Amino acid sequence: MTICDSKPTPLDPFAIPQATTERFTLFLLLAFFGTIMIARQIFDLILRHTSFQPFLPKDVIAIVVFFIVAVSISMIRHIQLRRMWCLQPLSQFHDDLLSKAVNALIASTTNRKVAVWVGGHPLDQSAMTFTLFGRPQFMLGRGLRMLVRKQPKLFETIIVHELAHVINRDIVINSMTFAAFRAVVFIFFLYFVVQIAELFAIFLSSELPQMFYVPEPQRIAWSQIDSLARASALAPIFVLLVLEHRRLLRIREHYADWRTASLIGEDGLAALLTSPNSGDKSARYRLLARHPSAEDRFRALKNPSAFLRAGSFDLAFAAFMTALTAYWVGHAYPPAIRDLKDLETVLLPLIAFTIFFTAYLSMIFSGLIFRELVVCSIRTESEYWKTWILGGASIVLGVELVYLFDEESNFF
Amino acid sequence: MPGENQWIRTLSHIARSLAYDLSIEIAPEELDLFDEYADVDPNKHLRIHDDEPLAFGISEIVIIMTPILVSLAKAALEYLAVKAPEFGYDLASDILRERINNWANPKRAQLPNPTFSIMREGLTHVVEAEALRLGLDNDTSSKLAAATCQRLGFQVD
Repeated sequence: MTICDSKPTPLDPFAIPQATTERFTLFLLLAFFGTIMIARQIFDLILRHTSFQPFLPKDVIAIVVFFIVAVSISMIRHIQLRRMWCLQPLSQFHDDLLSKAVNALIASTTNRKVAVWVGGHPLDQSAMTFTLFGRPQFMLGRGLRMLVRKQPKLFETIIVHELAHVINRDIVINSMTFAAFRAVVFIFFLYFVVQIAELFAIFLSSELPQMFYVPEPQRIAWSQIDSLARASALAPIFVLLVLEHRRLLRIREHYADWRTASLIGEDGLAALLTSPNSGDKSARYRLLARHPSAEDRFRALKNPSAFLRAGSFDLAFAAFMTALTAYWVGHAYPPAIRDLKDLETVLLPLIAFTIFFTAYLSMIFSGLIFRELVVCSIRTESEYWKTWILGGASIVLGVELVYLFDEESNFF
Repeated sequence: MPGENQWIRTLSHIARSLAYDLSIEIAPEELDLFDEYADVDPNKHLRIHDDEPLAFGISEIVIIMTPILVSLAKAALEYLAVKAPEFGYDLASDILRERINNWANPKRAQLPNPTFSIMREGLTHVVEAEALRLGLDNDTSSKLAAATCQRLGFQVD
C-alpha cells in the first residue's frame, strides 16, 4: 500500500443516480430550501395568532435554526454514541498488538490524523467512522482485539475499509447529510406540531359551540383542517427524503468497497462479505438500511460498471428529486426577493447555483435517457462525449418544443 | 443453602481452568485475552445478526471460542456433579468386579467399563447440545465434546 491521493475514484461520471457528489449536493439543496419553505409557514402560523414580531427577517431565523438544529443534534448524537458504546481511547487498552496494527495501517494508507476509540460489546467485530470537528474518528468494536489475533487479514480489510471512508471524504459528506436530514426531520416535526396545536386551540376555544351554527368559525376550522391536510401532503416528500438519504449512505459504502479493493485486493473483502453472518436481508432492510446488503456489495465489488448503470427507477427518482429542488427553490425565491431585501446577497448566489445545478442535472438525465436508447453502454471514453452531446441536444430540443407551443413566445 | 455460593465459585474456578486447557488445544491465539473473555456471556451468539461486518453493531466475523469453552466446561462439570452420586456406586462396583476378575484370570481380555461408557456418552451429549445451542456447527460441536471428555479423563476408545 502507498499513500493515496484524496480524490475519490471516478467510475462513471454519467451514472448520476449512483454518483454521490451530485446526489449529495441535490440532497443538501433540497433539505435547505425545504427547511426554509416549511419554516416560513411555521412563522406565518405563529404570527397569525400572536403579536410576536421577530427581530430578524424570517428567512434568516429559518437558516439560523437550520444550522443550530443540524449542529446540535449531531453533537448530541456523538455524545450518545460515546456513552452507548462506552468508548475509550485505544491507548487506554494497553493492547500493543492492536495499537501497532491499527497505527501501521493508518500510517501506510493516509497522512491524516485519525483518533481511534474502542468500545461496544467484547464480541463485536465491527468498526465505524465518523467525524468530530473535521477530524476522523474510528470506533472499533472490542471484538476486533480478538480478530487481529485470529484473522489479521480480515482485520486489515475492516480497517482499510474505514480508512477508505476517510480517503473518499465520506465522513464529511455523511456528517453533513445526517445533519441536514436531522434538521429537516426536526422542522417537519415542528410543522406538524404547530399545525395540530393550532387545530386544538380552535377546537378548545370559545368558538367551539358556535362552530356548527355560525359560518365564520366553521370556515376557520375547515381551513385549519385543510392546512393540516396540506401538511400531510408533505409526508410523501419526507418519505422520499428518507429513501434518498439512506440510498446516499449505501452508495458511499460501495465506493469505499471499491477503494478498499484497490488498496489491498478483493480477496479479504470478498471473504468478509461472504462470511456466515452476512445472510440475505429483507426488502425493508434493503430499502431503509444505511449499509447495502452483503449480497449487493459482493455484486457491486465484482462488477462495478454493471452495478453503476442507471436503472429506469433510479433515473426517475433522481429526476423527481431534481424537479422538487427546482420547485422549492422557485417557491423560496420570490418572497426572498420581495420581502427580504437584505437577504438577497445571502440567498441569491445559492439560488443561482441551484438553478445552474438543476439545469446541469437535467442535461445529464436527458443524456442518460438517450444513452440508454442509443448507445446502451459506455465502453470507451469517447462515448462520454456522445452522452454530453446527446444531453445538450435534448435540452435544446426541449426548450424549442416549449417555445413552439407557447403562443406568446417570439423564440423563432 | 449454606455453602452454595462457595460451591458455585469452586465450579466456576474449575471450569475456567478446564476451559484454559481446552483453549490451549482449540484456540491458542485467544490465550492472550483469556481472562477478559472468560467472563463474557456466550449467549450473545444466539442474537440475530442485524448488521454487516462492515457496519458498527452486533457482528461476529470469526467465532470467539473462549466464552464458549467456559460455558461448555461449566455444562460438563454440572453434569458430572449431578450424575456422580447416581453413577458412583455402579462405577465403583464395576471397577472392583473388573479388578477381581483380572486377579482371578490374568489372561482375560480387558473389557470397557459399562458405567464409564454411559457417563462418557452422557457427557458428550451434554457438551454437544450446549455447543449447538451456542450456534456452533455439528463438526465443531463433536470435536469440542471429544476434547472436553478427554480433558476430564474420559478417554475416547
